[in-house]
Amino acid sequence: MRRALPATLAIAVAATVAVAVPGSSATTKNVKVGDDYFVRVGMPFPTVTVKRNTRVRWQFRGDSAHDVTVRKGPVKFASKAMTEGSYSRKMTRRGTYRILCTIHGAGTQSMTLRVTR
Amino acid sequence: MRGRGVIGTSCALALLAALALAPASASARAQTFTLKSKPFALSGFQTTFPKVGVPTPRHSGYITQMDAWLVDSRGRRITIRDVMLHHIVFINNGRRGGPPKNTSCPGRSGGEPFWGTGEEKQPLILPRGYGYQVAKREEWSMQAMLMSHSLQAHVVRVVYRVRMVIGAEMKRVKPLWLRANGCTNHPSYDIEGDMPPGGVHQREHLWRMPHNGRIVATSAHLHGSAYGMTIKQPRCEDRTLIESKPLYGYPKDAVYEARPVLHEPGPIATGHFQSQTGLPVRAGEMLRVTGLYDGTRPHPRVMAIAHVYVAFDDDAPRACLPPPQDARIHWTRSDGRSAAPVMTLPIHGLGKDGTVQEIERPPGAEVFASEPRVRVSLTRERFVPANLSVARGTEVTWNFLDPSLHNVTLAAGPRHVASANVGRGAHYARTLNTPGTYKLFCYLHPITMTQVISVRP
Repeated sequence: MRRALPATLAIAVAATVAVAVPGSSATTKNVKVGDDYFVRVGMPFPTVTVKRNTRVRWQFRGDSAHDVTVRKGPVKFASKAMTEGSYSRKMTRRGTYRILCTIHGAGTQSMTLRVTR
Repeated sequence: MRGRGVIGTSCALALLAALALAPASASARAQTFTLKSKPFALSGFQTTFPKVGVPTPRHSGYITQMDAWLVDSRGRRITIRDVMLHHIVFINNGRRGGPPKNTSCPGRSGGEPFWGTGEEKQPLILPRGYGYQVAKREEWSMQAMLMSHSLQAHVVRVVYRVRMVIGAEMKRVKPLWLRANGCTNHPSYDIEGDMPPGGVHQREHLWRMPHNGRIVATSAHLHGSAYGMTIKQPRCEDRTLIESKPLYGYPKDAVYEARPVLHEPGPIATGHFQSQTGLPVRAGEMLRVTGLYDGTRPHPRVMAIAHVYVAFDDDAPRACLPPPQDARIHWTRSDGRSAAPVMTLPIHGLGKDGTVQEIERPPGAEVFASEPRVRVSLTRERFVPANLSVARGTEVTWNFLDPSLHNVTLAAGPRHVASANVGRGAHYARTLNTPGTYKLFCYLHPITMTQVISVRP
């Protein structure tokens, strides 16, 4: 039993890793949060499309404080105001999410997130 | 807004009824126009200085009253807790292609400021029978300072209400903008804070009267820590013609509750002088305008500006007559205190929970410097180093490396430190001769840009 258990665990871990590694890269979408834009500077109001159950990770790369707030969408969520680090959210409900930075306003820093089947 | 519009209409109707009794003025009417500026978008804690053209009533006549306030994108009034109208000035630029309108500074063009106010929220109210003449095709602009007290972005407009008399002759007034610091490039000036206990800082300028007339109305724009301002008449043994005294809010007043505290709150009222008889002045005579402030603590960028309305009158007496019986100071508010409260501004930072908090010092280790000259960088919206220790007498130079505008402003400390708003390539130097702790920030980026400098004895 003592020898069989680690082997079983090893197989189980290997299976998990085999599923999780390609799965995590395929189901996480990084979105840059800069001064004062989402995704990329010079792209005023971008649209990002992901499949349902994708984890979206907003990465704060600007000098100023920003946040990520759903103004309109199937689910409302909001990050705290941040100057660094990241905020992530698994998108389990499909639909269109209008997202803005409330610190800089919809007219300055907003994006659309489409979650498809 | 609607309610006020109704009041305005009622007053207009009442005046119309009164004028109907006077055949000579049968076509005269008083009308109130409620107008608004274009929208201005403010990010969290942003301070902006819009200078824009604004709609006019598009009528010829005389302005007798005026006031202004901020509304949000849905037209609802905005309070100081969200965005503050720090100050506003309306400027008459005249007709396009017509004769230029000038400021009160000789030779300086740029239009004629005809009404302004600040935290004191003083409306323009001219005595009965007097008006500021405007023509239908004149163009106006507006200069303002909008200061957000909210982490949330806001879209605001300035709504302004103009009461006019149309179709009747009135006694014409000339608006004069008389600053205690004269015709300097910037309307504000700094107070070092080096006076002994009880010290009163005085700044004065002599202004030449452009024509014969009578001062019929005056208001004053002052900042926090002001004791007041005076207009004196040197040719009449330097007697005081008008004294404006500030009224400060009680500790629970909204001006002290708004967070974060980005500046020393100003008076909630400064009084409004009015006299139908007026105070006679002669063309060419000098008036001494003095701003009085606490001189024992540093106060960056204070203002002392008298808005003086002089009615044209070539028959204004030369004699130094006693003040007219009808001279009055009107107050918009009375729920305040006359003593200037002592305020110490905190510095702020973003807490781990994403909220704005008062901080003792910014993050980062203190850099100990022993050189006689030390450089600080303003880069990527940070002071580098954020915590600094220097010896007494060190010259500190702040180098502005970001493309966006920044400033160095004293929140608390023993002596004044205050740069202008400047961009990449600019420098600001100051020799710190007084030991103590200097808490500094950029008031355009008050959450991310803070610095503490300890000056060793």
